Amino acid sequence: MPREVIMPALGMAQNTGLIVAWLKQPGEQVKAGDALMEVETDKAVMEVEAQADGFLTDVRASAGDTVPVGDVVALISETSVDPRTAPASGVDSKPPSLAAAAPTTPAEPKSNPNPAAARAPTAFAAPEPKATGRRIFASPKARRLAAEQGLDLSRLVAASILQPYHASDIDTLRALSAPLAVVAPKPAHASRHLTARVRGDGFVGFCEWMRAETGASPDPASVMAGMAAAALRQGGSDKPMIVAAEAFGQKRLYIDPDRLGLGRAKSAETGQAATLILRDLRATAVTAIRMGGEAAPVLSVTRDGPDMLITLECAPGQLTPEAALALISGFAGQLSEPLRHLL
Amino acid sequence: MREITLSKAVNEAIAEEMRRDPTIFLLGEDVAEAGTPFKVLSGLVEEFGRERIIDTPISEPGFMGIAVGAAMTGSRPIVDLMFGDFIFLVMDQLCNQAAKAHYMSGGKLKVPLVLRTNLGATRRSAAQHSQSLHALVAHIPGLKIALPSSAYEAKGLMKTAIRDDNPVVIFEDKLMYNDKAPVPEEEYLIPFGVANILRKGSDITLIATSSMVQVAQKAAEILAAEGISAEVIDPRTIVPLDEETILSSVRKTGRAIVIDEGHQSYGITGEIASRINEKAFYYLDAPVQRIGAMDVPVPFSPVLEDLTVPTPQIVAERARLSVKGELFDAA
Repeated sequence: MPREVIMPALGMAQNTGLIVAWLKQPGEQVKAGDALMEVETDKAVMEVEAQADGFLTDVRASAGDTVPVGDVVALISETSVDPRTAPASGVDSKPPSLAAAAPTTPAEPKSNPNPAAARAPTAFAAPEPKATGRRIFASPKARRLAAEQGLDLSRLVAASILQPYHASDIDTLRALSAPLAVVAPKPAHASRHLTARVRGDGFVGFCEWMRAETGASPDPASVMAGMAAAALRQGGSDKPMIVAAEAFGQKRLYIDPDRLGLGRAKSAETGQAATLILRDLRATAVTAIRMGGEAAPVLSVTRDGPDMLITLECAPGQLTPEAALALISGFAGQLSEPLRHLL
Repeated sequence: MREITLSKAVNEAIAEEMRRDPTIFLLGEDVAEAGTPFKVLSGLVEEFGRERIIDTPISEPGFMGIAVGAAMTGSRPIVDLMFGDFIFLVMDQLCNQAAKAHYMSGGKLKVPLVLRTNLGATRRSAAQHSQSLHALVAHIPGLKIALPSSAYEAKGLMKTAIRDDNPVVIFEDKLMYNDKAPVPEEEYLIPFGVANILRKGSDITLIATSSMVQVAQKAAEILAAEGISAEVIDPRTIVPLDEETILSSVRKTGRAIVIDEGHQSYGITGEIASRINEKAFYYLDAPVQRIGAMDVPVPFSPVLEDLTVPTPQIVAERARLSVKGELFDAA
């Protein structure tokens, strides 16, 4: 199946992107992580990376075109044959090595032939700023304090804490960087354990987009709780949904966070038991989760390099296999491309 | 302690120094009989006579030149320039002669001269009698610039200026001549280059000169009611500038606003803000902001004139922006 290359939302309040240049030629072989094209937003020119291995085909927009966010601009196919123009194209037969000589763009360190090395995830490495292609906005004082204390500001980005960062954010950063105290899990029943992997920048970008749209900073926990509740409700349930969201050592309860519009739900006091537990562990060093069943199904979000890992754990009595699969895939879809699910 | 007006404080400073040192004399327009339009010098001609309190014709370049020559040859003149706006008329005498004589003579000549004049808008005096032009002369090496912000400051700085062996320009705020402040009976001097911390604070530093010191203090009161703790610093002299007091305050608070009544562009605020950026960059948690007078000729219309000058409300608003940590004008 060819993978679509879409015009991503790279900036706040961005509706369209201008393709400055293609860094790969039609038919050229690409690896996931390779820079495909340069896109100009209102603020900067950024590289857009390939999401999969394959061949760049069906290039639908040229350098100089302005393309709406979300539109497909090309495909990454399993063969170099353009699925639409397969029989006659001379480009298709061009070996990849020739295309690499195309002189249209400046040399890109990212287009090195060993993208696997660039992708290799390291458990403790913070996501590189390159992952979003953006400089982190932080005051000189915040940068100095972070450097003095050996803290990495990109952890704040990963935790969806909105920029710019100031000295007051360093306390949060310190808390994020400390190993999280592990809460003793309740005795596990034989449990269901599912994991999914999505790209990490979709959610962060979405929170920034929301801020630009509404003028207010969304509460990331509320947004994520809304997505989880929506994924759980796919069957059409009208029952009240109480999501217990745990992040940065804090626990908040959201009632029906999917019903009010994402991010609008405020944390509430309620004596009712949670329908779903949501643990945002992106800011911690934890990558793999195997905690066993708890009183309600548990969705954990962790970070692995530029990606987010989603783990669903529940007792067999809590969700049927079908419901468990629907929940994790629905939640993964929302997290990876929140805007498209919203639209 | 007794309270006296800024006008009276200046008068006392000059009188005390003239009693102490017979080489001091004062000249300018309407200084003797009239005692200046602001009545600052009333009574001096009666005590010191027409030989030492000299009324001149309307001839600023002329009497400024006389004063520079007299200073080079052993007298200690005080020049009274009726409005700060007239400083344009004495630029050559002040900047090319007085400021450079000590340097160009290899130290053989001294020019112990005080030019006292004023600044400040909102007196409904229109564009040619309302300017705050201290930045013009602060740019010239060889001149010291004092900006008193109260009666107490005015007296102590004037006495130090008169005793300085090279040219000093003092700008008094013409709106403040009738403002009273506690001034001790006994003699005191305020050294140049030592800033005054009027209010201690921890969230933001407001550096304000002359007329803007009271604006900054009122802003600090507004902010205090909102839980924002502002430190207020009056540099007292902008040449020499007490950098260390300013920098150590900003290192503590991480934020700063510089407020001065001169036009904002290319002015005192930009100079002080730059020094903070250069020397305390890694302590800054927000961009250093400047607030000066609007870059327009001072309007005669009272309604418009009031809009051109920084107010406590404007300073407080800008301070909130800094403390809140919103991203402004980045990238």
